[in-house]
Amino acid sequence: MTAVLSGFVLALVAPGLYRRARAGAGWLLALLPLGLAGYFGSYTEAVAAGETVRASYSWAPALGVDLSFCLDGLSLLFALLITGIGALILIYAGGYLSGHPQLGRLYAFLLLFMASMLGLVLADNLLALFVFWELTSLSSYLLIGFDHERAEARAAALQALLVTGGGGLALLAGLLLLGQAGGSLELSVLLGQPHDLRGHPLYLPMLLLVLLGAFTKSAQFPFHFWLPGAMAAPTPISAYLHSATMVKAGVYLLARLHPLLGGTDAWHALVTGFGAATMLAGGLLAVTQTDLKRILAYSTVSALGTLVLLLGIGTSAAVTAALVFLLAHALYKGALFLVAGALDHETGTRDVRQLGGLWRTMPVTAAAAGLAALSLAGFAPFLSFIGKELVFEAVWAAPGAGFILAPAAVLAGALFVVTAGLTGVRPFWGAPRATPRPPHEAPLSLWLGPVLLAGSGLLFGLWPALVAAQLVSPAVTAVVGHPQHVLLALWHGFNLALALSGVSLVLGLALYLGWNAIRRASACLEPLLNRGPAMWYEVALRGLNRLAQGQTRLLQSGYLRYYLMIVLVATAGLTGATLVRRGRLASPVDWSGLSFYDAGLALLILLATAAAVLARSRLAAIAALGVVGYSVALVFVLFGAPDVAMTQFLVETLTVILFVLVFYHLPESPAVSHTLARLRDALLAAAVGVLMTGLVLLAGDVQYHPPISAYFAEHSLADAHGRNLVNVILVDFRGLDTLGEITVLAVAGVGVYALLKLRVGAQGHSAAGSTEVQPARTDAAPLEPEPGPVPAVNGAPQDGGLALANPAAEEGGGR
Amino acid sequence: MNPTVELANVYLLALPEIVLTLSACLLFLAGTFRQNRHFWAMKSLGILGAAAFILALPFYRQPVDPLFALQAPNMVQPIVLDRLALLLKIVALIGGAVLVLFSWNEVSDDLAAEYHACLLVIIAGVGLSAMANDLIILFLALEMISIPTYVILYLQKTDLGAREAAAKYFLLSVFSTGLLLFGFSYLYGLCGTTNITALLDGLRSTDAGRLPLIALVALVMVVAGLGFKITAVPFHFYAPDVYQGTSLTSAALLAFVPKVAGFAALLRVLDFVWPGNRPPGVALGTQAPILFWILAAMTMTVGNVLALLQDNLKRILAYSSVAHAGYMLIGLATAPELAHQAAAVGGGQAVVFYLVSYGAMTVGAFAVLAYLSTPQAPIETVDDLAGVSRSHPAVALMMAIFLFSLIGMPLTAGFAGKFFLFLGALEVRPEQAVLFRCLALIAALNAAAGAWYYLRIIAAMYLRTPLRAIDKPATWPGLAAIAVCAAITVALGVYPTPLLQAAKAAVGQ
Repeated sequence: MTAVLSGFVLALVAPGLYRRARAGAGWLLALLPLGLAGYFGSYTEAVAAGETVRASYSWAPALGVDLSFCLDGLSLLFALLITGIGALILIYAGGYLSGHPQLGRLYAFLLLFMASMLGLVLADNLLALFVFWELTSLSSYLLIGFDHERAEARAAALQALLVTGGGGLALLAGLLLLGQAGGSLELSVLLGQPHDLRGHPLYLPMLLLVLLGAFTKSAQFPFHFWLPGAMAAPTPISAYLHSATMVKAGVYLLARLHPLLGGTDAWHALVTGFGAATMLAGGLLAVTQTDLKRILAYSTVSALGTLVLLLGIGTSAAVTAALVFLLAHALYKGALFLVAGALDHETGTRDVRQLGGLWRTMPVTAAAAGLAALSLAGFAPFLSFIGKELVFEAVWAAPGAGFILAPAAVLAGALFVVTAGLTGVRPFWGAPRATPRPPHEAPLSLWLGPVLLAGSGLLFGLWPALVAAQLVSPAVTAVVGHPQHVLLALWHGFNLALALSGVSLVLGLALYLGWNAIRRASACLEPLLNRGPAMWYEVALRGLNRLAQGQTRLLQSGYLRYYLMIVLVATAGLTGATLVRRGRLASPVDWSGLSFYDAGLALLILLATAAAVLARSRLAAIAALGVVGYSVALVFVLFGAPDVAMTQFLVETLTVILFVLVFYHLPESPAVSHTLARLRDALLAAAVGVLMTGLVLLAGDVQYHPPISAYFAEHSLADAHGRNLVNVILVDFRGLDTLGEITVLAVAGVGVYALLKLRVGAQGHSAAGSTEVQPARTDAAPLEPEPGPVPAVNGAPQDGGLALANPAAEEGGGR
Repeated sequence: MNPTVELANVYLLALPEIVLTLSACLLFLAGTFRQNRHFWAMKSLGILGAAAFILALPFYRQPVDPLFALQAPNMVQPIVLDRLALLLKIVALIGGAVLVLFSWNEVSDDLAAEYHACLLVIIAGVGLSAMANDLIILFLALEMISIPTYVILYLQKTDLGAREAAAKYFLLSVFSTGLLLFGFSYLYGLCGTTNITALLDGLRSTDAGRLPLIALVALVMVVAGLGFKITAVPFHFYAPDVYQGTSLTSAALLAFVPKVAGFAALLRVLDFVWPGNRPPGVALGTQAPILFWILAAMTMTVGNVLALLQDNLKRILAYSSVAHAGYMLIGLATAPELAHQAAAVGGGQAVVFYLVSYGAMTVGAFAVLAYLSTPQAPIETVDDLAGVSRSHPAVALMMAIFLFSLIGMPLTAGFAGKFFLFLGALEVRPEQAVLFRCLALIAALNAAAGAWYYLRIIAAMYLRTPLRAIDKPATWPGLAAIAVCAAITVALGVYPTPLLQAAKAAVGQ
C-alpha cells in the first residue's frame, strides 16, 4: 500500500523536483523505485517459503469492496521487474530527453504509471485491480501523447486508449460476473474456495469478457495494431510500458486467473489459438519493417503471443516456460529498446537501412546491443536460451496440439533470430553509413540501462539458480495453484528441445541473410496488410462519427416545432402502445344518453376546428378556436359543472384577446406550407387527437369515488349557508380558485395594457409560439434564415400567453 | 386529527424554505436600493447559511417525528421530512451555495439582487419538492423552480441567442408541465386524493396489484412530464440549444437543479411501481422497468452519440447531461427489481448517489469554464481551452478531475456512481437478468463512447499549445466553487461509503 502510494505522491512532486534539480532529477527520482525494489526484494525469502503478504484498507464495505493488496510469487516477480526496470528508465529518460522543457511532466507520468502498475500486480481485490488497470491505460495515453505537437502521436495515443480502455470495460464486466459467480471480489477468497467456477452457467461469457480485456491490453491479434502505433512515444516509454511492463498486464491477468478459469476446453482453444496467431503474425510483421522501434514492437507482439500461448497450454511446464521467458524477454527487449533510443539520439535515425558499422564510434552501446541480440536470438548461455528450451519442451508436450504448435514455435524462434540480427547486429557491424547526425558514444545515463539489463540476462543464464528458487518457483506455484519446485539449468542434455532450438537458429540465420528478399516479397502483400484490423478500427471510428452526424442533423435541428413534434410523437407512442397492448383503445361507447344539445355542441366544435385549420388568416383561425373553447365551456354547463365552465369562459376570452393583440403586431401570415408538411402535421394531429379521445373515454370508465356534485348539494346549505349552489361553489367551496382567476385576469389586464402602451414597431418573424398552438398550420421553415426561430423583440412574453392556453385547454379536456 | 396542529407542523418542517422564500422577497424589494454584486452575493450566502442552520436544529435530526406516526396511516401531511427529503435538502443547500459562489462575479451589479433572489427561490423549490407528499405541493414546488429559472434565463443575457434559449426553454417547459398535470389529474381521478401516501396505498391495494390501465397512462404522462426536467430523451431537445444560448451560470443551474427535483419527484410519485410488500412481477412491476429501460437506453445513446461531434463546450456538457440522465435512469429501471432481492446497492440508492456526484462534477466543469471566460473572450469551443494547463495549472487539474469523473475514471465520484448503477443492472434476478445485462452492456459501450469527447477536452488542455492567452484575474469565489466541487468529486470517489449509506437510509432499499 505504502509502496503504491509513494509512487503517486512522488508523481505529484516530480515536476517541482525537476525544476530544482534539473539534470540530476532522473537519478534522484530513480532512488524511489530502487528503494522499492529493495523493499520487495526483502520479501523474497518469505514468499519463497510459501507466505503471502497482505494488507487491506476498507473502501466501500457495504459492497465488499476493499483496497486490499497481497504479495505472492507472481506479484513479486512483476513488482521486481516494474521497480527495477523503472529505476533504469528514469535515469535513461533524463539523458534521452535532457533539456526537454516538459521533462518534469514526463517524470510525473512515468511515476504515475509505475505506481498504477504496482497497484495492478499487487491488488487482491478484483475491482481495485480494474481501477489500476485503467490507470495504466490512462498513463499510457498521456505518455504516448507526450510528443503532442505531432498529430500522429496524438492519434496513436487515442487509439491505444480506446482499444485498451474499451477492453478494460469488458474486463470490468467479466470481473463483476466472476465476483458474482464466486461470491466474492477478493482474489484470495476466490482462489481459496473449493467450488468450481468452470461449471458455472456464466463461465463462457465471463471468460470471453476477461479474455477481451487481457487480449486488448497485451496486444493480441487482432488487437495488436495499437502497439506499433504506440511507438510514437519517446523511446524510454516504449521500452518500459510497451515492452517490459504494461503490455504484460494482460499476461499477468491470465496467469492470475488461470487457477480460476483455466484448464477448460474453451480456455485451451481460445487462449492457445489467439496466442499462436499473435506469435506468428507479430514475428512475420516484425521482419517486414525497417524502423528499429517498429521491428521491436512487432517482435514484442510476437513474444506476448508466445506467453499467451504458453498460458493457454497451462501445464506446469508451460507456466514455468512462460515465466522464465517473460523474465528473459523483459531484460533483453528493454535493453534493445534502450539501444534503439540511444541510436536514434546519437545518429538521428532509426531506419536500419541507414545504420551500419557503428561499433567503432559507440563501443559500449554496441556491446550491450550485442548481448541483448544474442539473448533475443536465444543463444546459450543466456537466460533466454533456457527460456526457449523450456518453451519448445512445453509446446511439444502440449496435450493434443503439440505437433501443430511446435513448428509454429520453431518458426517464431527463427523470426526472433532475424529480429535480433536486424536490431542488435546490423546497425553496428558492416560498413559505416552516412547518418543524419555524426554518431558518437552515448552518455552514461543512456548506456547504463542497456548494459545492466543485457548483463543480467547473461548473469541469470550462467547462474539460473539465482532466480529459480527465489523468483520463478513461487511465481509458478501461484499460477498453477499447488507448490512447484523449479530447477533451471543451462544444459538440458541432447533432447528434442535442443534439436528444435538448433533448427530455429539455422532457419533464422538463413532468413536473416535473405532479409532483403523477404522484404521485397512482403511488399506484394501490402494491400492485404492494409486491410488488417487497423483498418477496421478506422472504419468503426468513422462510422461512429457519421452516425453522430446523421443523428445530429436528424434530431437536433434547432427548430422548436420539430422538437415539439418528436415529444408529441413519443408521448403518443408510449401511451398509445400501453393502450393498444391492453387492447383498450376502442372501448364501446354508450350513445343512449346523447341529447340534442350534446350532439349540436359536438357538431359545432367539429366545424369550428375544421374552420380553424383551414382558415387563411390568423384572425379567422383565432375566432374559430374561440368558438371551440366556448362550446367546450357550454358542455361543462350542460353537465353540471358551472364553476369549471366559468373558468373556461374566462380563460377562453383572455386567450382570444391576447391572441388578437399579439397577432396584430406580427407580420402577415407566411405562405401556407407545402402539401407534404401539411400531410405530416395532419397525421400527427390526428394521432394525438385519437390518443386524447381514447384517454378521455378511458377516464370516463373509472368511477372510484362518488361524484363531487353530491358533496356540494349536501354541504351547500349546512356548511356555507347558501341556497344557490353555483354561487356557493364560486365564492365559498372554490373561493380560492375564484380569487386566483381574478388575479390572473388582473395580471393579464396589466400585461395587455403594457403591450398596448409599448407598441414596439419592430416586427419579427412568425413567433415560435404559434407552432405549438396550431401545429397543423405553421411550417415557415423556408422563410427562416437560420436554425432556431428567434421570437420577435416583444414576442416572447406574448408567446407565454399563447403557450399557457394549450395545457389549460388540455387540462380542461382531461377532466 | 386537529387540522391546526397539523398545519403548524407543516410550517415548521418547511421553515428553511420559508426563510429562503421570504428573504428572496426582501431581496427583490431591496435590490432597487443597492446595486452591488458582492453585497448581494454575501447576503444570499448568509441566507443559505441561515437555512442550513435551521436545518441543523435538533428538531430536524429526528426525521420521523412520533407525532406523525400517530396519524391515520393513509393520511399523512402534504409535507414530510423523511431521510430522502433531508438528504436532498442538504444537497440543495450546498448546491445553492456553490452556485452563489460560482455566479458571484458572473452577474452584473444591477441584476445581482434579482438573480440571487431567484436562485434562493429555486433552492427553496428544490427543498420543497424533496419534501412534497402531495401532488399539488409537488407541482407548486416544481413551478417554484421553473418560474424563477425563466426569469434568470432572460435576466442574464439579452442577445438574440439567449432570447431564443429562454423562449425555447419556456415553451417546452410549459408543455411538459401540461403533460405532468395531465398525469396528475388522472392519478387524482383514480384515487380521489392528491396525497401521495394515500395515493400509493390506494394503488398498492388494488386487487393483486393489477392496476387499471388508467394508472399506466398516468405513469407514462408523469414520466413524460418529469422527463423534461431530467432531460430524458426525447424530452431533451432544449438542452443543447438552451445551454449554448444562455450564460454559463444558467447552464449549470439547468444541468443540476431540475435533475435533482425531477428525480426526487420520480422517486416519490413512482414509489408505487416499486412495490412495498407485493410479490415480484405483478402489473407495474414488469411494465415500469421496461419503460425506464427503453428511456435509459435511448437517453444514454442519443446523448453520447450526439456529443461526439460537438465542438462547443456548452453543447458537449449539455449532451453529457443528457447521457448522464440516461445512466441515472438505469437506477430507476432496476429499482423495482432490486427491491425484491438483497442487492448490495438498490436502484434508487444508486440514483441518489449519482445525482450528488453528477451535480458536483457538472457544476464544477461549468464553473471552470466561467472562471476562465471573460466577456470579451468567452471560452466557447474546445480549442479555447488549448494549453490551459500551462497558464492555469491548478484550474486545469480540477477540470481534468471533473472530466475524468464524467468519463467514470476510478477514484472519482463518477466511477463510484456508475459502478453502483451498473452493478445494480448486473444483479437483477435471473428471470430478468438477460434484459438488464443488455442494459449494462449498452451503458458500458456508452461510457466508452463518452470517454472520447471528454478526452478531447483533456487532450486540448494538456497536450496542446495555447492558441490565445487567457488572462483573467483570479477571483476567489469562482475558485472556491471549483474547489468545493473538486473536493466532493474526489471525496466521493475515494470514500463513497458515507453518502452511499445516507442514500440507502433515504430511499430505503
